Amino acid sequence: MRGISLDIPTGQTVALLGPNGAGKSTTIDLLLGLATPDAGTVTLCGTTPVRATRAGLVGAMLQTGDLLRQLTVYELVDLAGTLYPAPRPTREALDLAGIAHLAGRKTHKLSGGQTQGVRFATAIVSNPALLVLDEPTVAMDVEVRRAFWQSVRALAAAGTTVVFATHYLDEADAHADRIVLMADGRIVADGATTEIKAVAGTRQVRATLPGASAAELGALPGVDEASIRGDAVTLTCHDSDAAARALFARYPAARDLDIAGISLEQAFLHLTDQESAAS
Amino acid sequence: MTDRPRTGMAYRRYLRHEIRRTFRNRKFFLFSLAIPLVLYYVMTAGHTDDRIGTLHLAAYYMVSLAVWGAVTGVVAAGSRISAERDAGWNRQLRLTALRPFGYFTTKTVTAYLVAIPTLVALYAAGAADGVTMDAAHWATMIGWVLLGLLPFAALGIVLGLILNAEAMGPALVGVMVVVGLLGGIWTPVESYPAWLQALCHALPSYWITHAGQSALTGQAMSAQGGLVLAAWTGGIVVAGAHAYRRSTRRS
Repeated sequence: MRGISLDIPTGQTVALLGPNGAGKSTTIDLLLGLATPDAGTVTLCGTTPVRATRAGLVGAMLQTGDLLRQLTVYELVDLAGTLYPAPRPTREALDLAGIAHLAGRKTHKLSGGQTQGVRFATAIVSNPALLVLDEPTVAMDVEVRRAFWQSVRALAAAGTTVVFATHYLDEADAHADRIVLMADGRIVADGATTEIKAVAGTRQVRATLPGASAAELGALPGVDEASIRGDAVTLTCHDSDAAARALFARYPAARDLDIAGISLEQAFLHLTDQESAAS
Repeated sequence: MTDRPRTGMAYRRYLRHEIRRTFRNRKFFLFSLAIPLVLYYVMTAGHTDDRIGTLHLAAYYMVSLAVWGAVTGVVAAGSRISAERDAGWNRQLRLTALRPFGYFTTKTVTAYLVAIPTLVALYAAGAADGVTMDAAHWATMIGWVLLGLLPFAALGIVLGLILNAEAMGPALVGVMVVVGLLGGIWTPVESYPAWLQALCHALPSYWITHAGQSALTGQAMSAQGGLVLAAWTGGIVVAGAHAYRRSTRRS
């Protein structure tokens, strides 16, 4: 982790977006005071992370961790509630997490998605000002996922600040006001969801085209970068429509055209390349 | 900013949850109750009138196995801590308002609740076999034994915080053997060579057994015993505070 600077105002919903190993979980650990930075400071609700968590201001759903056994779902969430100064009623937490029907079920008899639901309930039972979710939707099926995001949005609408980590652009796009794009322990982009989506939404146009030069292809409108391997050309584009049009206009012989979104990992590589080229 | 005050009520509810969870594991509970009781009957079978030192055999083993069973119980209570840690629970706890003091208090109380039925069962078995004491002696003995359990309860918590669930089994056996041999559970340590006796006298295991016997033999608990128990308790609690902070880190 290097040179992370992040200021999250109250009430905002922020996505930490990045591939595995980007530093999302480490950022969250720093935020929660589970890890301390070698240099620099973290301030949470005007105080240190440790004080803020002790004051019950933070609810967190960590990426790792099983549920305590030998308890029912209700008992576990209720137990978690007793550990905070001003908890939400247990029933309300279960309702919000959409798991009220599982209240009497033993914690070791749950599916992966149901387990995530219970972990969400234990995170919100504290009635937190800040809700931190580390890759919360892993193992959730479509229906549970929808209910989950509905609850998160309801909490955000009620003024809760939400920070969640994900490696899905769609998820960040659909549920965050702001996306912080991370790669290799750094923040590579930070902005409104639409801006980041444009950056991370880079597409690649592939075609078969003998005898073209990379320099010429790279100069086509919409193209950031061109590479040639044998007869196959690959254009990395910020505007794939313009690039494809120009490609056909200029090279009628081009065939086997394929346009695809690139993975987040590729987008980050692309972004970091651009950055190092610019500096 | 100041922390919002914690209400005693929420804390008591947390303790109640912990107790319920402990007693829900019936097998754990039955074993910690049954093993010392079975050993008592094995050791005393047919010999209730024999003597060890000045004590009747029944009285000696009643006291010894009550202590040994109780010690085993409180140390074994630590094994659920390692299971909780393996599940990532301590990291989650770190994000709550629960302070280390509250954590240790709760774990100590639940450990005692595992041990107390064992004490009761052994004293009942001894009484049924004719061990008699006046009420004041019973009270003194039980008081000292409960006090003597403190370093062991702390030890159970520390082991639970340091070891994973698999390592906890062998560690527990080790503690039970050391306590049994060096605590004078099976035979009085007075029969050991002087250097070994000196070692025994530096350990809390000797003094908790001694505490249990003192009410029967009429020997008062010595200041040295109190000091040894206090020193071990203090040392283990310090180690425990350190281990607790470590336990909240990402594994």
